[in-house]
Amino acid sequence: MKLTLLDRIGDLNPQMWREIKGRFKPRNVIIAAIISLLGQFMMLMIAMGSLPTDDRYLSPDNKIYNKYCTGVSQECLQDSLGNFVVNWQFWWIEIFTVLSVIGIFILLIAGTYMLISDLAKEEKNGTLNFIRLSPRSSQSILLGKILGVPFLLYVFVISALPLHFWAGISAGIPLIAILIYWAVIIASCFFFYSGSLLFGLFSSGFSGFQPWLGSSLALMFLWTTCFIPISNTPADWITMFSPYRILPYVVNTSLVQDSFSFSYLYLNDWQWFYLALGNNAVAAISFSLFNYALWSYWIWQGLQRRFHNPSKTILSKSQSYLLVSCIEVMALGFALQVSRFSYSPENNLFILLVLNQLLFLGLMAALSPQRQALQDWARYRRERMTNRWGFWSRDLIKDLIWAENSPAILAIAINLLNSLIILSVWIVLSPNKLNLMSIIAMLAVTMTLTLIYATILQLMLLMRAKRRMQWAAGVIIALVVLPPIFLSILSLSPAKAPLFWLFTAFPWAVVKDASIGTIFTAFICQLGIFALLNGQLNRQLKVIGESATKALLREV
Amino acid sequence: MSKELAICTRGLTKQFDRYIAVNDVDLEIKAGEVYGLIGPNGAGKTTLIRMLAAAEEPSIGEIYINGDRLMRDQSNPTLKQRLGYLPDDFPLYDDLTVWDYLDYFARLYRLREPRRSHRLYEVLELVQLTNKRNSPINTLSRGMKQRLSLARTIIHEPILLLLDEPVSGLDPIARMQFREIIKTLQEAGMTILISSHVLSDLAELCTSVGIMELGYLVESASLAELYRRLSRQQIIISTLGKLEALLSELKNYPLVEGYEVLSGTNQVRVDFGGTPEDCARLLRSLVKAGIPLNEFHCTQEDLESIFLKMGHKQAS
Repeated sequence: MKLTLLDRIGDLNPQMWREIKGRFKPRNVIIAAIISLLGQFMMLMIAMGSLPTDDRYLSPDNKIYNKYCTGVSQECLQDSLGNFVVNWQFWWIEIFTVLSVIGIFILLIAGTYMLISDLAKEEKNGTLNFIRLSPRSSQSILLGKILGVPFLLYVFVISALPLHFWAGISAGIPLIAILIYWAVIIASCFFFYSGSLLFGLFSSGFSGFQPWLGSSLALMFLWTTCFIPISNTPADWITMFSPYRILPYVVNTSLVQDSFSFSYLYLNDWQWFYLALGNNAVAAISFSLFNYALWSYWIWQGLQRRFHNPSKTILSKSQSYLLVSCIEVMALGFALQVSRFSYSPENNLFILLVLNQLLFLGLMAALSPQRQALQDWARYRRERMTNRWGFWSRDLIKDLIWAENSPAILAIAINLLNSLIILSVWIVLSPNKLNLMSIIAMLAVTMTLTLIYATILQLMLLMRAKRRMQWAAGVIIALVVLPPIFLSILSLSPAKAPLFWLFTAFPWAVVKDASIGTIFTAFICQLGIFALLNGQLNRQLKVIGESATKALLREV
Repeated sequence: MSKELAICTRGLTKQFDRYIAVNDVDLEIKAGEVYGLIGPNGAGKTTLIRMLAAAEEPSIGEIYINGDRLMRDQSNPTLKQRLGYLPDDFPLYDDLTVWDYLDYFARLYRLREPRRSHRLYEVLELVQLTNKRNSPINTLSRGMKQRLSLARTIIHEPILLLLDEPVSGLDPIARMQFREIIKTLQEAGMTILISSHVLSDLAELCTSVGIMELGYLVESASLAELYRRLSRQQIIISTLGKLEALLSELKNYPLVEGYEVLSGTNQVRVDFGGTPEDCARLLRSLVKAGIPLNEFHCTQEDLESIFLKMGHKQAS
């Protein structure tokens, strides 16, 4: 029966069949299940240990207190047989919660690691090429990977399911709530695993350590989101990707009073475009599922492109315009409310700008073509084009806005304008006390800075060096991170040296301190730098795009 | 685009930096042919085959397989169903057994039971790995792995096979087995593109040959035509009597273009410009002249000497 089931899976999704087949060694499966069961057993033992015991001789008032007891101020009462009256629901709810949290961490971190390392290994060995050549769709192959690669992890988690359900039901959580919780976990796994696959496909150049990098990023993310409360800033959107956000809603369906406390998360304040998501479990969970679905969809857009053709950029230029609008609208929804932690309304604008900066760094990586692609574009463009016009021909503009493999700078500029429109919605809607002029100047500075980074990245990707991707990533990260650190070491605070800060990745730090004149000076300087860099880029593109004959004649 | 052409490329070019690996190649291979691709290392053979297998993106140019444009995305599953590609480094999965490995690829190519098992046995039989079907792949020898890779390449009965150096690193017996397999596949009607350095193998297998040099396809013709154009007729003659007598006879014969005495023997290799009838006439005249011949056989220059004669030694 088992084999025929596996067989049927194999006909439906051969990739999943292959992954399971490679891992379905009875010994491994049994070990995974036993480790899981042992872990659960130990956890139960520890939980048992915290039940009340008869140690009244230790306490001064000859009474026993325990958090699971039902008496006044948790004093332990005994029934006629001398057994303690224990609030078992409360005890089970703690087990349910702990199991859930451990489950989230194990599923997301170990799964991320497995998928990234599996894909990186296949890409390195070259076996992925054969799968690419098969008539199966990329969706089917990659879904097979997601379902099959963490097979032993699934065995591990499934072995813990009975206890999880039992604990939940004993705690008074309705079955449907537990099932919904698992639906959210599955959606979050799908999102994280899709992201891992994309990371694995994208980063196969970072030999060896990318599984560690990917899974430790996941760990850091999950860990921090366990502690960050709802702040009514765009950060709420980021923390929403952690399934831990949904756990309180599930736990609270149990009617145990004063149960495990999630009050520090301030979930009730959770809002999006003034819609109160946090007050309503159904709204919160639906929105969370929608969020996972939307961003999984975008990840799969990249996956489909990269899987069949690893030399393509992750996103096409036209996709990027839509994606940026999507992200900006999503983030704007969280930025409109007044932040709980800051009295100044522009706080949210700054957070939006930080997010934007990160978004555009990611966008640069996703849009900038590699040297080979750029060369093909520069060298053979004239042969693809029908009519030859000068440098500023309409064909060129069209190419820079829509075509594959063309430099991404114009596309990034368009995306910046796109984000600017949405930022201006915030400026119009919010009761800001800031000088409108300085905000506009600041946005202009931010835009040119981003474009400068994009040009530098493109220039770095044109290098001959073999590890240009790593170099490019390193230089951009250094450009973003190092200047503020240096300025801080030199104790040049934004108030003291606003002009310097305008050249870091965080120019809005000086929005209050800098005069319009200073900002304008910085803007003009940056435009100059931008023009110089683009001149250089243009020159380099012309050089790598020239024909062999021309190169030969030049050397002579 | 003609339907009879299994492969047709138009202006196919691949440039890596300044280095043009494949330069404006118009390759045409008719259906049912075994096409040998020869050329020195670095001439662009592997890049060309990789582009034909959609494993590499051309800088510019078009590829048509059976008249359909080959693109590097998922728009053409039927086209992929027709292609089989064996790269020179043939990576495998070490965690699977031989059977599971082939089963996996058979499933990827949508082969259903009971056809699948049947085909698996058929292919295993062909590559002589039937008795190894339950062995893990990491226990196989190099030759076996190569044959397993070939089995993987043909499991879905492609009509076009692209084989990149399939016999490199194999011992003579394994090479012979490989040749036999290729012949069987050709008889089954597959079009096969094969690149190799072992020219004697190609001479035996191929119906057409293409020669690549510096990224260009400098020659592409049927083997018969290549022999006709470039290979000289040679006759090996040996005598039991005096060599001088034979040589003086040969000097007087007008169709003899040159000769070479094979050192240490009484054998002469004669470059001959005539037809087979002229050959017979030469034999008759030598016998009439009373020269005690004990060997006289007509032969042709082989592919290797043609290749060397053409002077295609430069890498790109």
